[in-house]
Amino acid sequence: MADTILELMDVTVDFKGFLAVDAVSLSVGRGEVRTIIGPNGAGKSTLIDLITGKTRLKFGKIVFDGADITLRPPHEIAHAYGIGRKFQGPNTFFDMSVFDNLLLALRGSTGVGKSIFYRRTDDARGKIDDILRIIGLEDKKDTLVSALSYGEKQWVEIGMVLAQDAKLVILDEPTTGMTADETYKTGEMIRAMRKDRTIIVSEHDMDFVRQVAETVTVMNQGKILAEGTFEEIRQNPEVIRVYLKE
Amino acid sequence: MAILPIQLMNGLFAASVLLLVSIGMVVIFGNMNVVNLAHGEFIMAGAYTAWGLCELGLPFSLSVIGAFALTAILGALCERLVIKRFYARLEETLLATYAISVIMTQIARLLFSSMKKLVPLPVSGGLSIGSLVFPAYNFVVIAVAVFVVLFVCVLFYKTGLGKKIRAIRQNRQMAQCLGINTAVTDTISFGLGCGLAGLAGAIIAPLKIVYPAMGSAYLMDSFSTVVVGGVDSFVGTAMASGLISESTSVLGGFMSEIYAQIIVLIGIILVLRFRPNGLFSKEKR
Amino acid sequence: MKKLSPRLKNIPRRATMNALLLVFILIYPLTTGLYQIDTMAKVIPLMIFALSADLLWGYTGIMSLGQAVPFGIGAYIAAISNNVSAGIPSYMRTYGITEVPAVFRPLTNPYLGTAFAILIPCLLSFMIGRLLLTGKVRGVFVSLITMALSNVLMLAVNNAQRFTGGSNGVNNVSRPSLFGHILSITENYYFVALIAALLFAVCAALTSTKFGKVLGAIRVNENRVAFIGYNVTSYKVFVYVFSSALAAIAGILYARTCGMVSPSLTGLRLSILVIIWIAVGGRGNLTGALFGCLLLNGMERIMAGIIGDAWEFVIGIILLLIVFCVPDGLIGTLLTARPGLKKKEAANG
Repeated sequence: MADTILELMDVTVDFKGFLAVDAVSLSVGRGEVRTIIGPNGAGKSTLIDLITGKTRLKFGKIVFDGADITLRPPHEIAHAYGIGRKFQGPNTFFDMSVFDNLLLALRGSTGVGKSIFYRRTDDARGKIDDILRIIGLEDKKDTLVSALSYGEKQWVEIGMVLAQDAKLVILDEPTTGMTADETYKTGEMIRAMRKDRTIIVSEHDMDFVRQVAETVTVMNQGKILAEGTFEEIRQNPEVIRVYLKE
Repeated sequence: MAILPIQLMNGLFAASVLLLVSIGMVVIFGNMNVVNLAHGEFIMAGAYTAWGLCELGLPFSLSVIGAFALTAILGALCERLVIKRFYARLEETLLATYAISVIMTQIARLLFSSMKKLVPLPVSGGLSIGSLVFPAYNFVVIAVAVFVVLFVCVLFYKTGLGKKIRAIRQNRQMAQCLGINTAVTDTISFGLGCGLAGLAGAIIAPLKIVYPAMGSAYLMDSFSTVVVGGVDSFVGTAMASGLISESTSVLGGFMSEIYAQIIVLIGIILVLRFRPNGLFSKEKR
Repeated sequence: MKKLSPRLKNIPRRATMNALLLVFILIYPLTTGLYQIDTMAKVIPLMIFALSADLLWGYTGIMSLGQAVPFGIGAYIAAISNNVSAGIPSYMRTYGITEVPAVFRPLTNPYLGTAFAILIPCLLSFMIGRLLLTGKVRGVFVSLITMALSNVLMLAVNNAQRFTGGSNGVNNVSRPSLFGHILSITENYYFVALIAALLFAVCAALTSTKFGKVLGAIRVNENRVAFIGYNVTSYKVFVYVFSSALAAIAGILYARTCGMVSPSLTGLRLSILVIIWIAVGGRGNLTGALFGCLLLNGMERIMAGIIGDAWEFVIGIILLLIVFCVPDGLIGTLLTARPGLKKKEAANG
């Protein structure tokens, strides 16, 4: 593959003898929307933790955009390499306004000195306004996040990932707790944000997967079970056996 | 060469004292995740109770039991009135228990004045091992420490109450769903922890001077011990008591005690930094 | 329903309170005698001390129970420097010391003395911060370790009598001097107030920047901050060192105003007291820390004369009342209280 942005080589996570991720190799192409599905405990979240530096791997290597990011600390992966992440369930700064949440996530000025002498530019303001439009919270930008609905909180976090201006965006089950309507809106957001980004989504909701997915990777028991288009996956007998039937 | 047995016995004795004053903290800090800044004041309350009951003419052994009972009730009361509202809220717990400690010290000052009280040694004389003679009471302290650890271990790992306490520690909501009355269990375990502190206070009363502010010294000692041992482990705490008292006394042989304390503190910081679950607990996921 | 962030709406109200406080401090000396002015001049450094702890606890959520460590070290170095710059201090003479010990020789220069009084606490805090504030040590242990530090420092100061005067402390410390002239009580009052006002302005500016927002983000959701690209450890260590510098300056001014230092300035009691002032005033808005400090110290100085030791008892009761009834602190509650809003907020969760 000529234009691979993320490459995992034989990565293994060992939780005291339990291999949560077991010698997984995976490559994601630039500009791709990759969906990772799998039953609970399949290792999806652990895989995401690995890429973003939250969990340390035991063996293997992670290469992102030509740089080895294996075992780098989370803030470096986020800031220097440009990988943004949305957690499972809303994970925001609840006693700040939507605007401030996005402002904090905005790429650049993350050092102590730079943040002290940071001045908000029109450029930054424009960027935040754009994001507010994408996540549909323009008229709630001064509302405290704690006062938003569950789905809106999820969108704020998606907005934060957008503000990070990440080359790779990883969304861990972005639609949990959303109504069907909200889920659909989220799917549209993801389609809108993909222009110049690579996106990895882990998901449960099959309608949602169908809506956003190009390539689907199926995980089971820490290993990759299958990889292909949504239709291929849907007809793969192995996948049907462990996952779709439930 | 009599140095080694003397050190061994004295170390064992010091470790027993440390273990006694820390064990209540293991119950409260380790199992309930409450930082009780009034721990030392419960030790003080136990010491005063023992002194008072001895003054009334009760035998020392009954005074110790009385001290345990009284501080346990006092602790349960504090839990019901104050602690209960602040579970899982570290900062409020710290402030509230500090308030309790200040109030308890002040009440002791009002009741007994700042005068230092002395509790007579319940057993005088010495026991000899080979050619060496040790105060007989030292053996009592060691025996009580061993007994208390066994008692708490049996209580926690062999009885229904212990199972409940451990179940709540692991998953409070699940425990509630299983029909455990968490409120009552919390009160009992907090009371138990305070009672153990009071018992420790009663046991050490004849060795030390009893005065209202005596508790604060024990607070730091017991925190250090519990942290090094791994906050929820009785056996770990027992081993940590040995380690800390030995290293303080051995280091104290080379330098002034204050430097020994500084070195032990630095050691504790390093333990926390690199083995956050204590020296003796197995690594957790 | 459009709802403004309380912080945005509060700015005028907070500014009013700060202005009131400033006016009070400026006119206080005109209304009273020298003794009261001197007493008040001792409280103002404590207000700086409260600011330092509020940055750390109120803004960043690091509950240090050892904030008296930088305060006490600053105070001691300033006091010793002031003493040795005038010859051999009397407490050293009683131990037969006939010349200034080598470690104290740089302190004979008052400027170097002041510099060391600020830098040494910062250096110590930097080392402790690098070890403790890495995210690997749970918050409760940070509180306990800093508490232990405070405890050990007080023991050490008590024991090193040859250098620190032991439990008697260091006496005969002169008030600050400017241009070779030792300030009078009233001049010193305004000097201390001026420094406090400047430092308050620095803190207020600092917390209103993006940096301040990052601190707030660390307080509410430390883990998330790393994943949007901030090095949480370096932020925490920076705040810890900065607040130590403030505490050290407070310690220096306190020592020079009181004319003496004693081991209790390094101990656990003062470390917890400063947390109590902030809890009473309200954390995370600077103004609350100032008011809480002023209120409790004012009460202490009035009540101690009447009820003596029982003041401790009152502190305990006040603290319980605050954590039970006014968890946001007095000023904090005043700032966020808006009629009719409480219920709505509760409904929104």
